[in-house]
Amino acid sequence: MYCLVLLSLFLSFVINGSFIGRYIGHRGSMIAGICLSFVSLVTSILIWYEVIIGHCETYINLFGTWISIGTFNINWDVYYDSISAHMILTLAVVSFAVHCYSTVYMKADPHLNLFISYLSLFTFFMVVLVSANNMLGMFVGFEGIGICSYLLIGYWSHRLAASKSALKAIVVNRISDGLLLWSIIWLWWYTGSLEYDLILLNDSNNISSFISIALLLGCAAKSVQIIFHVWLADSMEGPTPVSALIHAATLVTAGVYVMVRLSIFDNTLVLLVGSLTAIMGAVFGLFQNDLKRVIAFSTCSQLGYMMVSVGLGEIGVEASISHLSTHASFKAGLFLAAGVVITSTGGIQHMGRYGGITGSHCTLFGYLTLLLCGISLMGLPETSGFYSKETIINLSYVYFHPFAEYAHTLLLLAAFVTCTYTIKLFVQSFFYDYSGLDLNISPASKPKSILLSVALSVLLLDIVAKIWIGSSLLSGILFFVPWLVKTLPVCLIIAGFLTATTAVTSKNFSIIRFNATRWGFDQLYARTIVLAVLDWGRITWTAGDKGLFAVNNQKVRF
Amino acid sequence: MFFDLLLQPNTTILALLLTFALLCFVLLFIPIYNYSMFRILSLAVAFVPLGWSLYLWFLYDGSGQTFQCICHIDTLHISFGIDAAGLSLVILTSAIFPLCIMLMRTITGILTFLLLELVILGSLLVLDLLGFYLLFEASLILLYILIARPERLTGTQYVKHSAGDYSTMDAAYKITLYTMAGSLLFLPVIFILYANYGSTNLLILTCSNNPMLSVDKQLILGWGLLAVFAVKIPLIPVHLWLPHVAAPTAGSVLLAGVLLKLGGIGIIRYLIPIFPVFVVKIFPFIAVMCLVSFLFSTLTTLRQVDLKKIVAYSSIAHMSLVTLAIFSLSEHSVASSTFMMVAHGLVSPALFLLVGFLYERSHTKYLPYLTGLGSHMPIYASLFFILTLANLSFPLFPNFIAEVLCLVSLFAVHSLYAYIFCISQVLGAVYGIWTFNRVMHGYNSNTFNINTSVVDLSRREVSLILPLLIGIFWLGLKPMA
Repeated sequence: MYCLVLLSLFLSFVINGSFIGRYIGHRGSMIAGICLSFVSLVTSILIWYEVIIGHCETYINLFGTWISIGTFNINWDVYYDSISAHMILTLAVVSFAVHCYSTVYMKADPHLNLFISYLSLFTFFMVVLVSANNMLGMFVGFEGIGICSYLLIGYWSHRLAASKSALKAIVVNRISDGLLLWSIIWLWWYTGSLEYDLILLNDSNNISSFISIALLLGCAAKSVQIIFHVWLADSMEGPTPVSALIHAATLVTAGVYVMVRLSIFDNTLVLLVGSLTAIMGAVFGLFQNDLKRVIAFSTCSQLGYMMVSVGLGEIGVEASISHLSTHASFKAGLFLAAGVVITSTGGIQHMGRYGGITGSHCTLFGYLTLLLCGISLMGLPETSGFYSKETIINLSYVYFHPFAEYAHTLLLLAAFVTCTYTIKLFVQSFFYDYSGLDLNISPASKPKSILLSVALSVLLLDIVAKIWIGSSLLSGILFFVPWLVKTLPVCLIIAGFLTATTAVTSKNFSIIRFNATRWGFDQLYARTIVLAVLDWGRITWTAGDKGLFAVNNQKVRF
Repeated sequence: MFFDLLLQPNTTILALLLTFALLCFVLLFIPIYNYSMFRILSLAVAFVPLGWSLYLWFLYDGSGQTFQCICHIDTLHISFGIDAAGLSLVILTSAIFPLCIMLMRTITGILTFLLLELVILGSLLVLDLLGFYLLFEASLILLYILIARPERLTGTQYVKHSAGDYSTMDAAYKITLYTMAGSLLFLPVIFILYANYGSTNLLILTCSNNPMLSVDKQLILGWGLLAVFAVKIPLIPVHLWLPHVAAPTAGSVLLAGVLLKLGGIGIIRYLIPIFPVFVVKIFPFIAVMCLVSFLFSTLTTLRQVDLKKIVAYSSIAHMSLVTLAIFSLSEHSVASSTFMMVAHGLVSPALFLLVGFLYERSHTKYLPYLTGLGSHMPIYASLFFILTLANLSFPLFPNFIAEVLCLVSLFAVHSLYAYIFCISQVLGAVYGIWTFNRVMHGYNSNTFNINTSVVDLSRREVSLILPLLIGIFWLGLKPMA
């Protein structure tokens, strides 16, 4: 049973991706994909029940030895403990919803079975990452999701923008994968093993800050932390189900998952990086006009919260996982509902062109899902997002560390801005009617399918379930928080409501330009590192291979 | 009795070489008009060393001595034998040659390749410096013919000749020139060693009863061996013979799959045991050279517009990591570098085959002309993607395991140096994925006629790559089984 979750996803990849997909056709691949991801969902619920409720942590040796040379021994093992069981459940829910949704969203695509096979492969690698017992097995999943995200982002490969952003995503990810590989080797060298259990036996006082920083940098690109965040917004070029799968529960949380696993290696730099990312993502989100990019930057910001929480001691690590799982379901819901809006407006993603869409236009269910998930994102009381996010904010207040106070301030600011841009999204798209297009009179195409409702209701159910799970966590810390600090986030949310209604009409263009170009990170990289590397390449080619080292240089060819 | 002689551990290597030579000779008696029979029989002959090398693998005891199956010919003072690294390269060589022979379309070409196989297997199996030198140089003659006159041997034209264009000659001269320059330093060293020990047999040179060479001598003589192996590997100042675009596909497959590895095995087998002090003292220099070589070749690859050059330059980067791992002399160094050589010996030929297939269709290898192939050639695109991933050491492929082990053995010597390599490997991903993006994504260009020339891989072509793919997946997923 424990391997069934891996097996079913891999089977779905093979059936849809290989020549079998040609025989079963689109309808067959829809059925196969959805059924197999449903199997993985049911299995992951069973695993969750066994591991969390039944307290039965499971260790399985799948294929015996992978590498064994001298003292370097790696096995193909899987290990399910509470963290991985939580992660797999979250993953399977989102993956099932996305599989259902993409059969509707991509039904006109000529290579639908290829798309479904990529989705399944992506989820498969993610499950490998989560269930691996050792660091190298984890790294297989870590690289695998990077490659699958390359394939998925560049899925519409005829579009130049799509294949450029796919390249950007994979390159940025590879940089930090290299650092992660180095830290894996470091861990092996100094602890003699790559299994989590044995690594974590280390004395946490006796850890070089060098490895902590390398590990943080290694996880930073997957989890879109500041400096490595540049690939995230561009990856919105992929189809919407991909954005939901990659940016909700899966790829972006891989880094956080690794940090959580190796939490004894975290140092306080994590607080700084995380809180900066939180505020940065929020500010960028406020100044984006593309519906999907707004949601993408909100992911960036929420990942900042998780990263901060990882740095807040042992309780913080749990809060981080809890926020990860609540965030996954509401963010996937946001993306999928946004996909409904985009489809029903005929493929327009620019919010300035919506204006006054009503629920009747983009299906009431989709609209309500967008609203509910948006409210969860803001962290309005009694939503799932509230419990997890509030916990992190309170923890950062309680935690005794000089950085934690700054982190607390920044997180509060980020919560305020989060609220502002979420409300702004609704105001711009649904409330104000200024685009002149009047999409309500001539609706383009309202997507109607039972699978759509299944996808959205699975996510909504998950959000409700997370309230039950999330609310029971960590209630003890509230004792230390003064009532003023405790109510501050909610007050900021209300302030954000008010700000958003005015922010729509803001006309301070220099601020808008500065923030909408994302503080020039992309330009900075394009003009410094990328140019320099290409220039070095030119120098080594022309001055070296065609000049200095050339033996007979009578004719210059290429 | 005769059968015993063939299969007995201490004669089987010589029997392998002699039988193979005899079979090649017998092939000459096939009448020239019976071309198809010649092809089939020569392919059958090419499989003989493969089966035999698997038998050697069966004989080899991993926990036993370094050199096994030793066959000593007293009258010639020459020995044959295998060590673990040599054995894996013998298997790799004998597995790759049948593929090359399938690519050949003339009798001359097939015979050239069979002779090449004989010579290279000989140089891998012989445990003698002079024998290694002779066989190794003999392969050069055949390679020269192969590269200088590809259309004679393969039956297909690989480079469009215009008046005054001697690009094939140029490539052939380069490979000879570089190797000869290395050999000029190598030969005197062999003579001096002979003057000291009275033999060039490796087993006598490294025998513990014999005194080691003095440190001063080692520091001078070591350069001779290093020079010839550095050319073969190749390290940066002497690498220009490798990124050739003129060679036929089979030639590139052979160069990348087999010939580069002779440098690696030479260092493992000859340089380290004979000149241990030299190897230790030279390590800082070699480390710098390898890093320069790695960065230089990856950076250069970024600016290439020729598909074949991209694959060829990426071999330089891989082989520099191999060299560094060997010289790091840690617990994993021999295992990791051998594994890397085998992994690269499977992946790089497969990529060259793919480039060759594309060239047969489009008659160009230049990236600007090649776009949007993914929509017309899905099997080609997926194979290209898989092999590109393997080439940039994605996990689940043997290159990854090899790279991790190489980095581990490097880490043991210098952790920050490993750090630099870890970061620089992103450049490999950049050119690999960038090339894939360029060739497979986008719209099909109108350079060549879509209706006729771009068709997906045929069964024959897939079956040429399939053995390599099986090897790649096996070594990547479960190398210990």
